[in-house]
Amino acid sequence: MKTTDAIRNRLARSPEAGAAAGFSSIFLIFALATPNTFLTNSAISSILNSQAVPGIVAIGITLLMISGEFDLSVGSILGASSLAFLYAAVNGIHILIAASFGLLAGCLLGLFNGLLLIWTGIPSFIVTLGTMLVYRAISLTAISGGRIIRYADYSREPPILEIPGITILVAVLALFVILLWTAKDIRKTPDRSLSTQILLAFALLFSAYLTLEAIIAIIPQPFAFVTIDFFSMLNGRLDIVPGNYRASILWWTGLTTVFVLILTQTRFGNAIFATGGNAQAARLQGININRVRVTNFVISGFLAAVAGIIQVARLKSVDPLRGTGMELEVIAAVVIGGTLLTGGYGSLIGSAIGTALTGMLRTGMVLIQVPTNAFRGAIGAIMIVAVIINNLVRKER
Amino acid sequence: MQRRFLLGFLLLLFLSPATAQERYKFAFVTHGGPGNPFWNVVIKGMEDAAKRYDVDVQWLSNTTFSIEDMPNFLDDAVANKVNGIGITCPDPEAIRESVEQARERGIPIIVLNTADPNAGGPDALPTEFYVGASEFLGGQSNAKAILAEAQKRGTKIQRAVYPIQELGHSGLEARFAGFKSILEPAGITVDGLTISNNVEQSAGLLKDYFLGHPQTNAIATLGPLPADAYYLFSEEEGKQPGDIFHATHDTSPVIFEHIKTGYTIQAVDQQPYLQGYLTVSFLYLNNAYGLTLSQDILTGPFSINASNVDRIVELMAKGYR
Repeated sequence: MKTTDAIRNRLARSPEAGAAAGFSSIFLIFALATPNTFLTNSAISSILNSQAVPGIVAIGITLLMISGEFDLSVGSILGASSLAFLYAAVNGIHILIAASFGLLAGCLLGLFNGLLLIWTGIPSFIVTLGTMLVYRAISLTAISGGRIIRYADYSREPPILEIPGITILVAVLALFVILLWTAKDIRKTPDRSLSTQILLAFALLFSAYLTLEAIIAIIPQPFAFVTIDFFSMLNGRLDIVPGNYRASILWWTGLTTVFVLILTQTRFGNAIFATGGNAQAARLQGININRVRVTNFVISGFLAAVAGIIQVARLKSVDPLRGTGMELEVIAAVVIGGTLLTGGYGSLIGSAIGTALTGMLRTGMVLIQVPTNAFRGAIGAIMIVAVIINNLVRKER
Repeated sequence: MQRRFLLGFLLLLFLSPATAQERYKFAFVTHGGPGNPFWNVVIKGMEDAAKRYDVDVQWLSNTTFSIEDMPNFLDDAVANKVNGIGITCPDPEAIRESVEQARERGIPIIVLNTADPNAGGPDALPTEFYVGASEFLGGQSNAKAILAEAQKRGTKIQRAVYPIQELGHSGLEARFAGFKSILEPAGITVDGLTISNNVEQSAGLLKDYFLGHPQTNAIATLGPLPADAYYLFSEEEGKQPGDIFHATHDTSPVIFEHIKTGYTIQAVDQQPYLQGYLTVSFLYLNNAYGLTLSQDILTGPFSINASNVDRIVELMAKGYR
């Protein structure tokens, strides 16, 4: 076998290869068309900052779509859980407890979706179309009279966390050990994919860096309290790199890594693929497919809440329409990323690339000065081109 | 296969515009866009001024309504190294960091259409000035017009309704506050009602409201689509001029028709064309000669009623109103 054939085969086997090819082509086009502006920190940070929130939501949607389900209510869940979080925070509840409220709201709304699906047997497309409207009503009724809940109206100080340094040190060390453990096991997996290994290598390097930093900063005074601005921790500007890169990008990458490992290295991940590929066969293998589906809806709700809270950390407000229309944007990104609408096949890394691609289209369109009225049309047209490139690459198998 | 890729790629390159232009580049980052007829007049003003001053402008927004898209578009505009930005301010905190970042790079920013609610105070965004209507005065103007018309017809306003179509919009809040500031001291209850820009749905909501509140005989709508919803409701219910006193914000051919036939008392216009045109003009003057204004420009309220509606209709056909 020739080397090119080997590479081609390898690419065709991974669902994200098409998205990566589409991404690279579009990237090259913008880079050549606007070299002075596109290849700058401001443009690239703008793309990544804007896509971190939909990127986190896309993780849950990908898991659901691989297991053969849809969730159209994620935008509304994001809105409702952002509201639960900020409402609690501005009413004097400790910021961590407020965040737990937001996450709990997301999980409960997701759980409700899942239970409704398995109890009624109605397709998830319809169930979540219904709950999308119902959950939106939560924000609309809770914030009546055309208001926006703004953090600044209640407090002039950012929410501060005070944590003993040693706790942080233990946490980053634990993360490093877990990643190392996973890396040890991944070599035994027969169908390990290249992208998973690259991702894991990056995660290991980054957590090693974090651990080193923590050791240097914390060891001299391990029990001293470290003050952290909660909003900056979630979505503040990253001072360690030049440009306007924000912490949300790290959360997006981190969560993607965690869920890639869950999807590709665990029994639960296998069960997700099996449920979406052939539910009947999965059931015969002893997989509780209802449990898989409900769990995925809860994960999807949880991640929508995480994304919502991270978004609040940047916008510092919640309006009743927060998250409207996000479901379609995210589903489009996941499909561009190579996940099939029919279930059983897909990739989280592909979804991340797909999400970044949609953001790149928006920023790229601004940079090449596309006329106002053609703007969205141009985004749609290029999105179709990206999917065509994606399909061409995959047909090479 | 490879040849096909190459061909497509070259075609795309050919289609992309030439680089390195010396003209000024401006961007408008707003919470609404070309999906709503109101914004099209602002866009026309912006484009006419761009032609007049020979500059490039770009309108960056969600097609209908979105606050969370604004900081992302602002960052894109900064990345595009624009020479000036026009923004709307429905939620200053959401865009604060992006505005400050633009300001750090010396990009002048003018607020249009929706003012910074903190303007003049310590929390004001670092912008030049505001080009737009006073929403509060606009709300007051409609309330006064409704009271005057009721008096002329020898009746009293029993109760009023104020349907809001874009929740979370501080400009609409200010209109509501202005409206209430005149009617409530006169002992009239004003009900808020949540509707949308969907005409049919909102007409249904109005029908439900009036079923529940038959004594209500005044309504102020906040834009052309809600006005359409009110007209659909009023037509289907067979209402006559004077049954319900209606005034509205913003303009459309349908609203003018109803001013002529007496169904609508007045439309408070904020002259959106000026908001687009003047923003580009002042961004140009600021870049070219370092000029700026020391106070805001109020483009409204401007009252359109039976006395001037015909002239306005002529100008509307040309896209200026």
